[in-house]
Amino acid sequence: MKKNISIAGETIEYETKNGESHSIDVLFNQFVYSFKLVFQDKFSLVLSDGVHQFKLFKHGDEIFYRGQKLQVSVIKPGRNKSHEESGGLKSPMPGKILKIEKSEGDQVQKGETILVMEAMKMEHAIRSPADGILKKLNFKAGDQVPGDVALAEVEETPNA
Amino acid sequence: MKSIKRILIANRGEIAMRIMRTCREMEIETVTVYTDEEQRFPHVFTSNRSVNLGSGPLSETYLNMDKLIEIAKEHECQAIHPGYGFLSERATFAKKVEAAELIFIGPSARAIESMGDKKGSKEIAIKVGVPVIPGYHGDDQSAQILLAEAKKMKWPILIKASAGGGGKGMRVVEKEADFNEALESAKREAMSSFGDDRMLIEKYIEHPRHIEVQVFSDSKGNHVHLFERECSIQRRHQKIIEESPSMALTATLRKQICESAVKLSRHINYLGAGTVEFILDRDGSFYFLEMNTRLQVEHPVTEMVTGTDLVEWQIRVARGEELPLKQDQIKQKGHAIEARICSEDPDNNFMPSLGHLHFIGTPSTSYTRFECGMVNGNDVLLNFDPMLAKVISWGETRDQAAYRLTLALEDLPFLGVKTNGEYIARILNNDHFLKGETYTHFVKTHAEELKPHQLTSIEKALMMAQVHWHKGHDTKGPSTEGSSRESEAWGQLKGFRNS
Repeated sequence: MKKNISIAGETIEYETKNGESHSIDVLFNQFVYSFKLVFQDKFSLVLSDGVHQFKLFKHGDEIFYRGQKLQVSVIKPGRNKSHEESGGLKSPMPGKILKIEKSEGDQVQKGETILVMEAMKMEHAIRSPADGILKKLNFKAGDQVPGDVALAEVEETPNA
Repeated sequence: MKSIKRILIANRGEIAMRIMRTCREMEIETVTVYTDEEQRFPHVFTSNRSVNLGSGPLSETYLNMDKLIEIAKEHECQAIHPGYGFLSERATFAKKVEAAELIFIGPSARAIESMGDKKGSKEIAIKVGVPVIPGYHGDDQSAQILLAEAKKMKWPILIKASAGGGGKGMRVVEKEADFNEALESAKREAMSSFGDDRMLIEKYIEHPRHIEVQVFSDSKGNHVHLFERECSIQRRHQKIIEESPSMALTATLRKQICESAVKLSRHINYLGAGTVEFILDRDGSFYFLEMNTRLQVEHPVTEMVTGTDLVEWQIRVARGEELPLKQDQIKQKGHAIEARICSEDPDNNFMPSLGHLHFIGTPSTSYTRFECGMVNGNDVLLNFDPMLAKVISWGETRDQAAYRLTLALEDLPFLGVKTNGEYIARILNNDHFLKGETYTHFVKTHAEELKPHQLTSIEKALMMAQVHWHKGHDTKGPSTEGSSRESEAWGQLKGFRNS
């Protein structure tokens, strides 16, 4: 069966065969890679390709392999994950709004600071992702905000 | 000689753990403090006693001088160790501790006052003949004057909080148009971090290295240095890799710079551990930057190359003892490198990252120290510094130390939070780093080379294969049986919880 996997943001198509409890064949790039499970505990597993052993640390989709951390997840068929967000205007993490630089209705340029947040004792400038008009500010100075919420909306001015 | 049997550690995280370790080896009891959200942190349950500070803002917890002193008195401590950060460089705290007839493990309030202020310390440096960077350190703090002073120097210039440290309240300004925004933002950051928004303006040195000298003084008039550390590898003006010795110093330059540091500590009749920071320019000229009147985060690299325990030295000096070694007995042997592991995403502008720490791991390389203030199951908290741990490796050579440290980082998955661990490994393996081309703008200069590695085909196949063995997946694999046997064994131990 053809499947899609996302490895550190890259989507790759592959197939698996003989997926038994101790071993699996992966078909990818016109090669067959066979792996068997050598060891598994709560946060790690060791696989072998018959010669070499590979140790991985793992928690859910988070893989740590030879010092490198990777998000690895199988993409379920029929789910379209491409919802695009206008980046930059979401709170990167929970924190406090320190200062609002612009008002609703203001003309803003790409890269211009709209507001300043403080999180983990550091300041983060939240900048406009595009040239346009600041349509909406969802918070005011002094507000505590959770992570990953929309802080403001900028309506992009179409290029003439 | 004063007796110290119990110490209050007015700090948290890895430094609290570090201090505790030495105290335990010296048969000194420790009292720690903690906030409500830190109940399960190791500094709480590793000390002999621990006291809850509640859940208020920092000013009511780790920065609450009177409360901390009261706790020390109540628990019959003889001394307070402030660690680094928090109250470690507050002269008022040192004064209050002494007024309460407790020993402050650090320098006198007077030394903190004179060296803690960047402006004041520069005047002292000039007086004893140690070179300083040209700049404006005036009292007139109006934006116009600051800008006028900045324009007298060549862009880029540096705006810096007079009371600052750790990169807080510091901004590089490339051109006049950016000056006002940078100034305002630096002032706000300085006000919230130090309660003081006085700024100074300096010439910005374009190829600088950060060299600092560990100094130590006792109350018997001995002032020594324990050689240099180079901490040029920084991001957001905060150090991430520190080492000793520095590749940039010749024997002559090392002697000059270390002796300059001792000149300062001797002049102010310093006491205890201190660090004199310098900027080294490409042409070999060095400038005094500031003196930190506390133990530094990166003190372990010095300990590893000199074979000393600086916390033990601090306690001995606080008891009124003489320094254990004379200057000519202190030798620098081999090479040590430290990596600061921070919860952040190096591939997304070092954005801090929060999360639940599922699994930390343990380094397995030789001559490696792991200084960690967290255990599996702790949460990375919003209100504290993003540094989670430090790893320090020693080697006969710099390359060996760097390689051991790289391997140690591979043993530390820190599952659950994003860390800069792999990013540090990329730096340690970078040719420019290995050649010793370490300038403070290293991470910017080599940003392209420091991008994540591409996986090979077999590694990609490995990733495809491993999803087959999901946690909880019914595998009947060889180890699953093992682990169920293990849990049965735990189950038989009544009163234990294996969580």
